[in-house]
Amino acid sequence: MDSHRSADLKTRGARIRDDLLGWVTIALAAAFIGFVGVSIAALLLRAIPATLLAELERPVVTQALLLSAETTLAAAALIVIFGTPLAAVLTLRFPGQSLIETLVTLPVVLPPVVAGMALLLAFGRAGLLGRSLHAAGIDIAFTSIAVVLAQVFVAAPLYVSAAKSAFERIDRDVVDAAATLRASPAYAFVRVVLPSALPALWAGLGLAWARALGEFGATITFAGNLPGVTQTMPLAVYVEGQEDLNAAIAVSVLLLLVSFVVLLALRRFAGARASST
Amino acid sequence: MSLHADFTARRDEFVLSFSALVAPGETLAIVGESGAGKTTTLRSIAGLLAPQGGRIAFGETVWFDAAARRNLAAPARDVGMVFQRGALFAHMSALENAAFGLRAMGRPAREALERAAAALATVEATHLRSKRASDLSGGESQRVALARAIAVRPRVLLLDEPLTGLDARIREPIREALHRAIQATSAATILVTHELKEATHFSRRFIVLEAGRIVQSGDVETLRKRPATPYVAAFFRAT
Repeated sequence: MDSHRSADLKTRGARIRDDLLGWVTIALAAAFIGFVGVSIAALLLRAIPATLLAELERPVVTQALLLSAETTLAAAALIVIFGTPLAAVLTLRFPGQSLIETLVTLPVVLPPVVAGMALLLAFGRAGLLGRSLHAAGIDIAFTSIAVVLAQVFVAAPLYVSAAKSAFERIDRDVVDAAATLRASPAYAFVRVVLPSALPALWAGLGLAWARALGEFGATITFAGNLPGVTQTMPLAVYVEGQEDLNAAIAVSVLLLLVSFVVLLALRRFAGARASST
Repeated sequence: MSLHADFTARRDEFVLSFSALVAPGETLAIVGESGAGKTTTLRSIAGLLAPQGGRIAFGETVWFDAAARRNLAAPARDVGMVFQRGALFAHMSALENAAFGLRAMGRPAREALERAAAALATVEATHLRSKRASDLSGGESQRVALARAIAVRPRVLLLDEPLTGLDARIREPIREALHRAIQATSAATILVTHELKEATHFSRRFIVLEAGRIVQSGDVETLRKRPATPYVAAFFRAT
């Protein structure tokens, strides 16, 4: 009734303005969808299934694929092992909390090349820590370990932020109930907080893993571009793109599919879990 | 052993000042409008927030003593607490919820589950045992929350408006379950409520809180005949 009456009261000018606003909104949204859609379509249209499979069997491609799988899995494991306690600590209030949180989330906005530079200056042969490590016979830069470290550095903040906000969203009464039931803070964290946050942790990990998979700038700066050692899929796309466009397209399509599947799975998973609680 | 609480606690708007002695098997009702400091009182006794001054002791055991700088952590206090909205562990079954405290205490799984099942039976919730907590209705959740609190056999039982928010239709059976739970523990019990019917059902002794202060305490007759404030008069009039 009310909305009907107010519609009647609108002047013709106001109605035209509202229509115009509506169309402009739709047009802008459509333009953006087109921008993303055309780019993805262009990639898919150039990929001929037969050559795609053939390209994927080339050693340069299989090496990169395997290396990417190994390094991103290692990175994901490290991110969970170190990132989960970090996120838990960041939910506490202590002096310097906000400074530390800014520091550990900085890589999200840092240009990856700068991240690579920082890692090189820390862990390179002449670096801050690298010098002592080199003296002890350990060299990290330009190895597969450097690839993993670059991925962790750049991708971990995505997981840590997701985990922290998941921990903070947990009902205070539920955690308090655990405390009145004789649960130590550590026991309550493992048995109550972690399981409650699990869907959000998976979602954060998925994002971080996808970011690690696409890592380029920090990797090429800190780990270089050695086939089979540090040449991950994104690096292979770039290098192959200079000579053999078909191979680059094949790897690109593969990366695209993997990213798409990860995102879809996360949305499904997060949605299903959210509706069940 | 009795619970002896005599403390002050700072809140945003006022300083709560509370004092009471509760004997084992006795139920003390704390009534008052929302924001009067009822939940703060329970949380202070449970060890979920630190009071500002005073002393809280159960028998010989001192839980909080401002002068001695002693503040026993919540898990070390012999309490069972039922929260306003259940506060169940959503990812666990009703039975796992009820067994949680005993598991946290380090009791073997078998014993914990047996005693949890017995606690569920006490509040007539045996049929809910394998249901996920997130699938329980409001009344069912409150039954399980009761079972969870009494399964550890606490000697102090703290009930924060356990029937508030429940449908009028199911309140009666849940009240019955609450009655059984209180009897089963024979703990020193504090019931926080803002409903007269609930308060008189369980308790003969009342403390009325207004803006963090005890404005009156005593049995229902005294409070009805000689109310100290308009709120006390209004609260105890309608029986």
